[in-house]
Amino acid sequence: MLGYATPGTLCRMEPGAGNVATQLRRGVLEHCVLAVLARSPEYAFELVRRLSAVDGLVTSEGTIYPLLSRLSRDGMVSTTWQPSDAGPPRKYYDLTAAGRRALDAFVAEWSTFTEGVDDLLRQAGAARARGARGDRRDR
Amino acid sequence: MTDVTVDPGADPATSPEVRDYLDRLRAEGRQLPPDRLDEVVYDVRSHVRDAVAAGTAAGLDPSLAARNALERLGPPAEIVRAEAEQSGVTVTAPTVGPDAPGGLVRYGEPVAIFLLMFGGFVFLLGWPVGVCLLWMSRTWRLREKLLGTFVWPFGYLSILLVGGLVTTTEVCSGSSTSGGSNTTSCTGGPPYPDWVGGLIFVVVLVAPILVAVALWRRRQAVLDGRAT
Repeated sequence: MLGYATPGTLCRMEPGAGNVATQLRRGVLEHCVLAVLARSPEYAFELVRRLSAVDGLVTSEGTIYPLLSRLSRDGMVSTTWQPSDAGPPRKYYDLTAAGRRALDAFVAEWSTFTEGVDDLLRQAGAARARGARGDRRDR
Repeated sequence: MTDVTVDPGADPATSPEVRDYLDRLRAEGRQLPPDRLDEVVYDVRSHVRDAVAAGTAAGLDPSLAARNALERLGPPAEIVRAEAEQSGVTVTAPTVGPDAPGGLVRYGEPVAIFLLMFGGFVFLLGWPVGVCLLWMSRTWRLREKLLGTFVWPFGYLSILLVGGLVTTTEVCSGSSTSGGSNTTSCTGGPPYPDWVGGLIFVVVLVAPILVAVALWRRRQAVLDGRAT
């Protein structure tokens, strides 16, 4: 098989809707975090709760924290400690200028990307429908 | 920005389930850089506190709210995997050895503390095993490891033996009567008064207990995410 690319080198497709959801989630979750913070600064628990409200976006809430730390290290979000009415101070996350730019870039990419994918899926759906009509006529 | 009222008196980390979860998170994440692990544990602990406060405000029993929160957080191993992925750390899943979940952290460290004190009585071998467990642990820093090793070698066995030697090496050469008074001359005893000997004995006796307490407190601080 020399000269042929290994199938699935760029994107390995495995059966199952769960895998598709995982791949999609991995690609968009950090931008969803930025999108939530674009509305207002949030403390971690509330941020996680907002993300979890989107069906299928977060499977294990605990995995958001490593992502938040990384976004903070990358300068996409900033953190501040604010006193709470009761209990210890809370860590609040806010969008930085770099985070806002990354979000804007993602929004532009996402629109183009989803329009393209939607178009492909519509064509595939139409082709399937034509095939089904042809089968019925043959019978 | 919505807010959740937290009851300052209710620290969910004191519940056995939460403590166990945080223990497992610590154990699973021992291959992560310590600062990363500390931050994750702190975040998760804060999350549980807020989740319990929100749950109880909604009328849930605190323990049920804590259970729900832990379930939604997902398995500790998954959080550690996510942290490793985000910080670019390679983590191999340990199944045996000191880094295994439920291994050294949960059982080895308390055993180490016990063996350092009383291991000498277990055919002399218990103490070296305790020292090995002490030095294998990543919970204790160098100073705690040195303290654990040198206060005292072979633990209470050495105190018993040294104490026995000191009291048995004093030789009294009998009594003689001269001028109506009894004199007893003893040689080989300690060159200090009895009360000094008593004080030294108490210090020697108490020191391993203080070291054990220090080791235990450090362990608890690490497990609770209060130590770096």
